[in-house]
Amino acid sequence: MTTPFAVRRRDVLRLLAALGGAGFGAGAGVGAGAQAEAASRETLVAARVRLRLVSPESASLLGAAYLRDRPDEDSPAHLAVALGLDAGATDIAAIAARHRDDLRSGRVHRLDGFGFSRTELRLCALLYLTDRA
Amino acid sequence: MGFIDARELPDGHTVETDVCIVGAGAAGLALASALSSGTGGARVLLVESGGFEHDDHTQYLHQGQVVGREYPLGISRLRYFGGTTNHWGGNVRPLDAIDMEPRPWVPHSGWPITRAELDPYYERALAFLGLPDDAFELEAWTDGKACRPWELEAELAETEIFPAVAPELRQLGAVRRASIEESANVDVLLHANVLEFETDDPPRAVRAVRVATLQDERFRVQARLFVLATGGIENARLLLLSSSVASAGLGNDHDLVGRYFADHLVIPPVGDLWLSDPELPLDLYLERARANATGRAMGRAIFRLPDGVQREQRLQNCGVQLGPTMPLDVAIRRGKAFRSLDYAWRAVQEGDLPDDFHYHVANVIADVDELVAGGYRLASYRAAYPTWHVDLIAVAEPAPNPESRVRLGDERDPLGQRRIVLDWRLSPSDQDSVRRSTDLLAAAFALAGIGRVRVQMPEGGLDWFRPSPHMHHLGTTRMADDPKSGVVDRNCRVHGIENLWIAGSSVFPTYGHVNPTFTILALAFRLGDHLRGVLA
Repeated sequence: MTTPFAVRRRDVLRLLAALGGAGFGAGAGVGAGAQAEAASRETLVAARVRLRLVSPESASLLGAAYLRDRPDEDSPAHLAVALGLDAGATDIAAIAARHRDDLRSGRVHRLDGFGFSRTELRLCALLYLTDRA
Repeated sequence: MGFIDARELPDGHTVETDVCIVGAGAAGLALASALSSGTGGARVLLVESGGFEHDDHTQYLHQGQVVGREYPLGISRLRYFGGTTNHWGGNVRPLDAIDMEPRPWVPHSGWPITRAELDPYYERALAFLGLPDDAFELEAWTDGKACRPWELEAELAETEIFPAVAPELRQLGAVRRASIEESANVDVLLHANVLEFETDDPPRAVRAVRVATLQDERFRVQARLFVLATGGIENARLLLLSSSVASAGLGNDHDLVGRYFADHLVIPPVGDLWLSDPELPLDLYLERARANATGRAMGRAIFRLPDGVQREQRLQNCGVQLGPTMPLDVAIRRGKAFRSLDYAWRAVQEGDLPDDFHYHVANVIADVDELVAGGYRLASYRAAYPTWHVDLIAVAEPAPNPESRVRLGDERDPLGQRRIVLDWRLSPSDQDSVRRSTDLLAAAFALAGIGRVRVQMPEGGLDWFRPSPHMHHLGTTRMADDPKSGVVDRNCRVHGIENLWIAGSSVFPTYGHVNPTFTILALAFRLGDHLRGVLA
């Protein structure tokens, strides 16, 4: 499956996984229990954070939460441009650097008090929109 | 003579000595120790308000009125031999170098001396407290396995060790009592409340202190040199009370005495950290004991932002420690049964059963249901929430604020002395700095893969900001080279008074984030060297 800009879903996931060193981690994925808990946004975020490796489901749910706060970014085109992916390139090093720079310079977005880099949440949002499509 | 009970001195008597130190707390005792040799036989007299034990009537002299932020004035000081070290938690760490530098983004910041000038005296303070030479070295507390620091990027966040003096060595009065009894030149006058410094007119030198007992015997102590060492609130009070000649109070020509009162800000919690790896070792960040040559030392690691980050982001200093691992842990640990079980188990492990061992065993038996139920709740909680999340507790440096102050009120104590009015205030930068520091620390944790922090401080003004005081009384007779900016000079001598010095945290112009006692001791040893030169 590809996004509307030829960025493949698996590439988005690969990019998210590359941020794993940043503690962006979930285990084997959000389990059924956590999925059920996701009715409330707080438990959704908490569940997302407490798991260890990137899972598509939890990342997608975080992306949805982000877009609820930032409806102005609810567009794959906008997100791709903001992430520098509009040309279809998926430069892991560049994304990781962007993520790191976000955190270091305070460009974070809060979901239930958890601070996420704009870059990681935009990737999550792109994943969510891709799945939704 | 050793210890003298002032109540046995005749009314109207005059005691003569060379150095009169008012107050036998951490500062006074360290200074007396420093002057116990190498002074050419100069006699040193500690004048202490209390006796060897807590006494309600003496403690009552400490009462005052609080008109600013809520403050536990009554319990944050102890007025007997050993002073407030009688309930000291024992945490020690030097100020960071940046704490003593002028920082353009922190108004009224900067000491006239540097951290490097204090370093040799910090070493003496370590020995005084029975701590090992390597107490602040991280490696000395790690084992490379479960007890090791987290791998944070050094330019983003630091782990530093915060040692604590062994419990049996914290009450400095009890610890130093024998050495004073054996001293050839140091005496202590107990139950002696200093009322006022008597000066020449105009007030350029102190001639004596007027003293009273609670039984209203009155006498004087004459000396060549005087040192005021009664704590961050009482130091200011005694200067302000010394107004027979200087109507605004001694050393108060520029209305600075009592201003800049500050305390470290405790914010529990600023956030909670959700660990990426439940197996991440926490041992170093929780208190642990370590044997050393003179007894035991306790230690735990805390986090802080490096000097470079503080400069770049224009922040005040802030230390962050891990809190209890989860709320249920706290509930259980606070229970009598758990505490007795913990105490009894440690005693058994150490093979040294205390006299009250049976009492703790009885506690465990009496409340065994509490232990079992608590343990079950904890196990259930951990099963439901497999990832550990720990509170982050901040201890933050406030900015110096001249409107935060101690002054004299209209109420009087049983000796007829005006009581103090405390108006503790914060500065707008205080909450902003804590919040931004937490965000930056959270970023450092995220980038290191440690986990994510849920910040528990809403954005907004001071109305939500409810830090607890750490009960450290700081800044009321601040140090500055310019008499218009400070009460004492770089040698802690009161500006304009040739033979009066001040010891204690009241001289701190800025405060850092660490507990002040270690710096109080270092400054006292430094003052001791200075006074030895004066006496010579």
